[in-house]
Amino acid sequence: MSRPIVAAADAGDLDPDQVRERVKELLARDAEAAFLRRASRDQYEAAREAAPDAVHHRRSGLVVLTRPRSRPCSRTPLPVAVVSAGTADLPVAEEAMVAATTFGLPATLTADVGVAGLHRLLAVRDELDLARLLIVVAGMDGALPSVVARLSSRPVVAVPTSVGYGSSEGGLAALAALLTSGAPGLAVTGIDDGLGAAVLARRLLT
Amino acid sequence: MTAEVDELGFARVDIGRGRRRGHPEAVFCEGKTTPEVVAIAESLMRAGATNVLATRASAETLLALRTAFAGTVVHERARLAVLSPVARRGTGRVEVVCGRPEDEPAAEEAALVAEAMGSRVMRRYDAPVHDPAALPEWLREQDGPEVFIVADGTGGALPTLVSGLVGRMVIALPTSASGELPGRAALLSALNACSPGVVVVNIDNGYGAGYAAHLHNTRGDV
Repeated sequence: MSRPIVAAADAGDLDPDQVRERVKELLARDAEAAFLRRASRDQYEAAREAAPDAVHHRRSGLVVLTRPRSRPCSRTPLPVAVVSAGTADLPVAEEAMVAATTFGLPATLTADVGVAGLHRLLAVRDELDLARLLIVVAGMDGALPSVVARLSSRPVVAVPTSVGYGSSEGGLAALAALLTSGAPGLAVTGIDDGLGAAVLARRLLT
Repeated sequence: MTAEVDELGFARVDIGRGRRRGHPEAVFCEGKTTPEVVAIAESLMRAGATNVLATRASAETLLALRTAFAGTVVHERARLAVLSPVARRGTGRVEVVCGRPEDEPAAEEAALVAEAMGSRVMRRYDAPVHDPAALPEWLREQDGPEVFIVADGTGGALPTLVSGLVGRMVIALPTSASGELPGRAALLSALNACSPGVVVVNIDNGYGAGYAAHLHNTRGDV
């Protein structure tokens, strides 16, 4: 069996001992990259005892346990553009961005171009076309990824987020909207799964 | 108290609706037999109602209504009949928008209802849903209406997109004309519209959308 691409676990409510155990277990899988997700500062401190190189990204809580790869394979990887609809979606966008970078994929972040003001998106259209793959993060009505998929000819990986009022049902509204958008060439990850989108990018691009 | 209700046995027809609300009760035909629909319509018109709407009517019911009441205007695609129609000048403007042929029956029901109630209605069923970049220009082609109705059966968020480009209220009309989760995704998406100024009616409820649009358009003046 080939080397796994990723090893990841949610920090959840693990106590420091459990965090250390979980981190050891993740590293033992010898994946290209290992992550502890949605970790608090205390959980990060515990993780660092088992993985001295670990880096914590505060907004998303993502802890990168392994050293980022400069180049995961012989070909030069192609760039990924991470696009977020609202500022509230940034934690998920950061996770996708950091994970993509960890896999050695150059990634850019374009924040706050939601379709409530379509001109913001049209203004950065050319910039987005430079990317080989787009990861588009959106909560509420989940509108942005389907619009991006119609504006761009690049593959679009949509990440629905749990941002929204009551009936957004923790992201189910955005997820359902994305699954039925009719936009061609759009793939959808689970809710808040920025890491999942980055892993897909890694599989497709390198 | 004056007789506000006409007892038909199988129905208590709200013949006071026109006095209270300015518009008569509409007859929702699904689940009613054709003779029942005809009897209810007869009761409303006996009480003096005009522009009586029969919604969600089968072809058979539409035919029976046309036969029973002279002057009835029938719209098969919208499954709607207007009984005892009285032409109105048409005030303000309601713009009804959709971008897919599948959404047109619901859009058309909304347009006809607003029109029958007395609104001037503009139908625009060729929104560039496959090319969102063309939407700003497409919307600019028209003078601004008082209110938009946007019918969309997909999760593609056309109501949000339109709302983000205009200064008017958008009534989102989710339709069941989509493959999976018929109407559910469109309804949830519209309820969660990230653009403020989007209000939502139920799936395929063109009647409700048209009624609300007319009230907004005319500020309640009949």
